[in-house]
Amino acid sequence: MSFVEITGIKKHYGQDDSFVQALDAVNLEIEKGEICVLLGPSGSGKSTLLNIIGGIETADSGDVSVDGETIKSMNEKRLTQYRRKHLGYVFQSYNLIPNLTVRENIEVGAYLGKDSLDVDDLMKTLGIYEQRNKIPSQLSGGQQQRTSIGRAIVKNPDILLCDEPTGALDYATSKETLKLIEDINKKYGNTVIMVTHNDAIKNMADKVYKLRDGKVVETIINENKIPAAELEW
Amino acid sequence: MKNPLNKRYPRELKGDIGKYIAIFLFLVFFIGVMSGFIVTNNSVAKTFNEGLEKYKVEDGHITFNKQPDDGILSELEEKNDLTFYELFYKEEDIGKENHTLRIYKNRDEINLMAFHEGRAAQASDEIAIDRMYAANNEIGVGDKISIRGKEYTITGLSAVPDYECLYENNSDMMFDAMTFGVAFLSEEGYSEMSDAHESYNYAWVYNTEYADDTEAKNRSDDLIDSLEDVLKKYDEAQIQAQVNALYDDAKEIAKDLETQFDDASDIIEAKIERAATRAAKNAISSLSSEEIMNEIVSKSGKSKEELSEKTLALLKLTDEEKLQIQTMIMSGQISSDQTLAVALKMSGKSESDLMQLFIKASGLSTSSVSKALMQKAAKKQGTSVDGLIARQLGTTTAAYKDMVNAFEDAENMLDDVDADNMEAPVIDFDELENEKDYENEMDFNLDNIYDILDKVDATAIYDTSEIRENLDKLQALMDTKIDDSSIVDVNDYIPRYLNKAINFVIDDATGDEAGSMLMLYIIIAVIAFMYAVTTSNTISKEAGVIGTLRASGYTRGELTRHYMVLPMIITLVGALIGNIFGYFVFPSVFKKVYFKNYSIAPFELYWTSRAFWLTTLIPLAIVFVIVLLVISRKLKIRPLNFLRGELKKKGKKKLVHLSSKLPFFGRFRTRIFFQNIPSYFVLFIGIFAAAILAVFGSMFGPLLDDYTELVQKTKIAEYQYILMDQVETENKDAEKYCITTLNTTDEKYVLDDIGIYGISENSKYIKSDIPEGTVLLSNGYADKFGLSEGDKISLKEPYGTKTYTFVVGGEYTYDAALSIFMNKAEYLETFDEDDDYFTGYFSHEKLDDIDPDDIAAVITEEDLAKIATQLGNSMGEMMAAFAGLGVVLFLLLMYILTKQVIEKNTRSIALTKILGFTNIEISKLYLLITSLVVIASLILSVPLIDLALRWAFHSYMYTEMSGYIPYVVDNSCYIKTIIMGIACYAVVAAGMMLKLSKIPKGEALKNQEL
Repeated sequence: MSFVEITGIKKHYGQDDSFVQALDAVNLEIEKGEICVLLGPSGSGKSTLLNIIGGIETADSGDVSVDGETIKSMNEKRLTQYRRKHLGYVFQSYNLIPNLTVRENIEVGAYLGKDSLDVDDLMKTLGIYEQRNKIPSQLSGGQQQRTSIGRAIVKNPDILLCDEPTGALDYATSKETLKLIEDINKKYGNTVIMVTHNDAIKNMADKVYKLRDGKVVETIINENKIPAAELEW
Repeated sequence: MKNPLNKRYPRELKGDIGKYIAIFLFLVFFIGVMSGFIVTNNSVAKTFNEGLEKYKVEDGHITFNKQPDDGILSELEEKNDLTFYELFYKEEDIGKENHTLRIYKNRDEINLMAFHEGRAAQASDEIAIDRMYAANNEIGVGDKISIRGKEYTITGLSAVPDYECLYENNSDMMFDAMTFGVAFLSEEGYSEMSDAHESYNYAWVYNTEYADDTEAKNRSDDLIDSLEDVLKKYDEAQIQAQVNALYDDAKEIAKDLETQFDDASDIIEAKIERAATRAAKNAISSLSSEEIMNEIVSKSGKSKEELSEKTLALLKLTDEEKLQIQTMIMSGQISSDQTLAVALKMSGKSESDLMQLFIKASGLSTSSVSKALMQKAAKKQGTSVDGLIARQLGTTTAAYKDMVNAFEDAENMLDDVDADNMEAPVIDFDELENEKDYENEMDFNLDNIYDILDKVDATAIYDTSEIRENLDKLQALMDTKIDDSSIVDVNDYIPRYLNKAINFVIDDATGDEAGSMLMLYIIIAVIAFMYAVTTSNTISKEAGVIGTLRASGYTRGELTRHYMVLPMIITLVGALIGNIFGYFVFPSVFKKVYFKNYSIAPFELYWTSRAFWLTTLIPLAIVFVIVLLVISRKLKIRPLNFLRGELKKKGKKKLVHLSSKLPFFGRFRTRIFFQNIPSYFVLFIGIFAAAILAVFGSMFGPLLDDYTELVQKTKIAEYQYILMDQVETENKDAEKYCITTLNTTDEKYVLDDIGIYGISENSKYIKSDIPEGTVLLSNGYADKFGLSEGDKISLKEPYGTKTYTFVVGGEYTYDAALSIFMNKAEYLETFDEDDDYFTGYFSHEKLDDIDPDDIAAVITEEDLAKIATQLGNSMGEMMAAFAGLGVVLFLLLMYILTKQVIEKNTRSIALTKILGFTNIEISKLYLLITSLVVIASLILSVPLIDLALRWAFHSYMYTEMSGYIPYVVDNSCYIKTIIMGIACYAVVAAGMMLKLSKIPKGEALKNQEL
């Protein structure tokens, strides 16, 4: 049994004229420690799928199981505990707390974990140790995104969910960010599920699910994945 | 690990320091004042309760019209298990117009004196005076005051527990520390003072304490009942004794009269008999023998010859004489008719003897013959038998006849009087008391007897003057009124639980608390909503962060707690520091306020945890509940919605369609309005609350002026005299009226005294027709009790149980007091008064011809306006505090909520700046709509304030206070409040314009969260 198993997930939005089938019987399996990329154009349903895995969106039908635990039957309270225990979230918008420093923003994540990583070590790993006492408005986009990754990873989650983490970043910073995610994956062994529309990023993943109109149109297992630093687009 | 989000708090605080400082200072001040208020009130209450024993406060007092017998008091004491203490007083003026000093002896048993300064009077020319009265009249220890021409040196400024609040009469609407005071003389000083104006007042104390007001009322009711019984018994005995004495006198006179009438009767009868004899004689002598004999023949029914023969036989002639007469007839010397005359001559008897024999022969009685002869003679003389007797008596026939008939009646009447068995009736005191003039119940019809005597006098046969003398005495006894000076009556009766002079301060101290706390909690609720709105705005601003945190596993509870901490901390710290001020600073301020208004004994401040609970825990709970409800509702949105910025709970935001015909600025502002509806709603509620405070704080000045003017405008007369006795005046301007006082019975309201006026027909002072069978209510009475034409009202006598019901026939404009006007005739009937009864005069002129000792009171314009003056004096500062609080609340609300609107739109404002809008234009976009909301809120508040205050007056003030003050809010108060509100907003708006101009354009370029 895979670490993450998604079976027959369906999700729609709207009704009648505005009806959209966002996900249509999606199945996928992700093994522990894998980097999995959900690739697809805008509106393909990839973010919806990520949110369903993250337990912040509910599916019409189908199920998500993480480490043998299904989230379908969970109420709001258990879902929160599920997220708290298993997940780290990185968004395109960094969503940092403006009046907390870098360190404090990461501590916000650390607070949630029972066995959180050392914040200083992590900041060094993330390359933002020097900025640790700065507030978000004093940081570059890349530094902010590193901080937000730090906040997500510090509690050492089983799964790191990244929703277009480079969407708001320039090319160089994007690569740095992707490398960071890769490094973290290697260092801490978290499963990474990353949503992107950037086709090049698929090459750093162990597994790629291509989505279009809510369906998985292709599954790629990368036997020879390319390090993030070498990605080109 | 501590939640790192906690580190935000000091930064949040710093970031919005203006808002938090404003709220904090407001809380510190407001809670401080409230806490201080409670601490002071609690101290006053504690002092009051301890003072009951310390100063031996009475359980009530009774004022009698005269000094009652000891027996009355001891019977009451025994029946009601209480002890009376003599507390006489004398009321004197001290040379100032309308000023009254109620003077007691130094007290050592009851209602003991406390001194703020100096000592009690010792010498006869020393006096201790109430501190409040002294302060209001700027007199002090060492000063001299003149009473009844004697100078007294003030030796002390005192306070007594039965005049903590200087109510002259318990029925007064307001106390009067300006013109009324109490003073205390030494025993010697008091006895030297004239007792012309002395009141016989007794305080009582129950021998066992009562538990509460209900028991106090029950005991008081029992005391009233036994008071009625004891006084009735005493007064009834007094009256019965007087009536008995009168009847004893009457009995003696009646006996005399009986004898006199018997004697008179004998004398008159004898006179008549003699006259009748004479009349008969005269009558017979006026007739010829022939006539007499014919009358006898006629009466007897026999022939004349037969009677003549019998008569002849009765003459008893000798045979010789009989032969001689026979011879004379036969010889023709005499005819047979002349036989009797010749025989008479021969017998040597008189004519009269012959007549007697003739009567004898007829077999008739002498009297019947006499009567017949008298009738004949009378007829012959053209009169009657009575006429003949009357002639003998020297009177007329008619007078004689009247007298005879009257005398028969008199005898019957005297038989009825039955003097020997005459007894005084048993007096019914209640009936007598209702009549008020205390008739003695003796009721003989002497008119008939006088009439009889007149008839006797008309005949002049008997001198009735002695009988008349006795009759006059009897009449005098009948007319004798019972001397009511011996009747003991109650002039005043007040149990402690109803005594405003004792309870007003404690009622004020404890009663104000509920209202003040309600105000505190309403304002705290407004502040809580401000917190909620501003926090809600922060949550909107931080939606992305919240979404991320929730997605990362933060629970809703953790975030709710996070957003609640600052409001709770600010409130807690504000309340704590407020309480420090409340415990250490404000009580001394309030203590001064108490001393300024009330004549209370010196007191210490006692700390109480109650103030802390009421002003800290409850406000915290209010803030907690309101902020929790709003924030938790706001945070109920799913994490994804936060991430997407979809903060409306139900799906997509509803966009109100705005016509493109509307100018751009208009549409823009409308959008701002819709965006900030919650803020504006709180602003509206807050402005309403602040405006109520401001209007309430400013309404009393104009209201009291208006009221004074109304009282003067609607006064009945320049002078209303209330008299001790019914004395007449020569002044043509004066008009008699009646007045009595009854109490209201509607238990929803505190007890009110209602003056019941009996108004003369065609009164020139009460110019209104009073429909028959109904009464007119003074407008205040109708308004306060919500009465109108056709309603029935029930009033009861003040110290009894009798109730009266009246039908309302309309209103009469009279603002000075709660009154009822009824036709005098109906008044007299209702209260069982005589036709000539009255209690005083209305007059536009001073009545100089009435002895001041006969005047109980004169009510003038100044008296009527007294309430307004005292209310103005005692409430002025408190009202200013209300208005001040209103201003502070205005500023706070406007500052925080306007700032909130600006902050919510910081990015948009920066963007409009980038787009090239000037600061003025931006102000127009973002501030003008808030300005309009402020102005609209102020204007919309006016009718709501009117409704709220009207409600407060009718549902709260009118039910809690006796008397009446009209609910009038001068338009100037609303205008002032609106101007004040706008001025506050102008200050805030100016600051906000400055803030708006300082928003950097770069704000628009920052990373957008949503």
